[in-house]
Amino acid sequence: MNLIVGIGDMKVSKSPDILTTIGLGSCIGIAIYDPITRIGGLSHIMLPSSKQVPDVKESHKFADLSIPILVDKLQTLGVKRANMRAKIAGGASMFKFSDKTMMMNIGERNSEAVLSKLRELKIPVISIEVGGEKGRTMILDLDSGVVRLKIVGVGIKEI
Amino acid sequence: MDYRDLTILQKDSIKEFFNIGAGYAATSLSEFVGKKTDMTVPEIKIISMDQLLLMNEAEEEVISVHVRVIGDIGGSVIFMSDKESMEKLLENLLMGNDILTEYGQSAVSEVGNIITGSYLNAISSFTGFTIMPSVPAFSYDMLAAILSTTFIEAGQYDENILNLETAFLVDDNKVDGHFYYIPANNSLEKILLKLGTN
Repeated sequence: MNLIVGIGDMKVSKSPDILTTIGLGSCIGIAIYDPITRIGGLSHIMLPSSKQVPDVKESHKFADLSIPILVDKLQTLGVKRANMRAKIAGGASMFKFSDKTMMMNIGERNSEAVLSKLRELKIPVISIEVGGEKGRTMILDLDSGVVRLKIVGVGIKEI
Repeated sequence: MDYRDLTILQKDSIKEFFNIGAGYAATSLSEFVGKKTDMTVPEIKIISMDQLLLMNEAEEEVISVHVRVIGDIGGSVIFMSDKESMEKLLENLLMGNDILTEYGQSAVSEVGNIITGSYLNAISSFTGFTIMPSVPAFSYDMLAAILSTTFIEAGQYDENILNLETAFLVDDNKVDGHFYYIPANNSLEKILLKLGTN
């Protein structure tokens, strides 16, 4: 079954399901997978931190809140922390303004926040495909743990 | 601002200055591309970011021009279309050149400039605000990635976002071209205040 993870959303499932999230621009997709139970999850975050937002209603928009929730969810499904492996993609700088003062670095800040949180939770990141200037669609195959990325002009890349 | 709270009067106000901007834009654009172009009356949609990305066309490759709005109000303007439609729109200018070359990108960017300039002029004349467009950024990329990033950069990442969308007509044919005005936080309120419909 193909499950779609929306923006600011998170889903977990098990083999042979496939988790897909579309349109990662500055956003980052975080896949956490356990090859032993073949259970995994995918989260699509938009911003690095919930701390500047006064009234947080949706945790999965933020790297600092979403990742711990994803990890907890997987644990309740029987995944051991020690077996979790992460793969991340996204964080692009989508708009190349010739006036650099017009450029924002949300993608970069997202990337830093995601890696920092995964480091804090001691989850090894085995593939990192962040930065660049292109949007990505991220597909996590729960049967194999392979992540496929669809990128305009490039095609499909496996990480 | 929770866009769901917009009254009918407010929505009509927004449509009004948008429509006028569309008129200016269509005239300038027609001159630039050498074809009769028109822009339809805008639709104001209040949607969730989710709905934005779950549209059928979300994974489509599109050509887009992103112009930031700077001055008394902020935000972004995006003009986008699929490659074929953009080529059709610009065929008199491209003269056989590939739209993805530097020359082609320049032509596309200029379209973005023209349309944005016209809209900002309309808002300016209604409100008296000083607003300027930034230099444009060209993209050839996935629709969902372009839109989501633009909304987030404009500080619009709430559940309900304002989606001001208008469609294009070239030589009386409806073209798959879309124009989005994404106001930054408080900008729409400032506009409505000036229009007296706050």
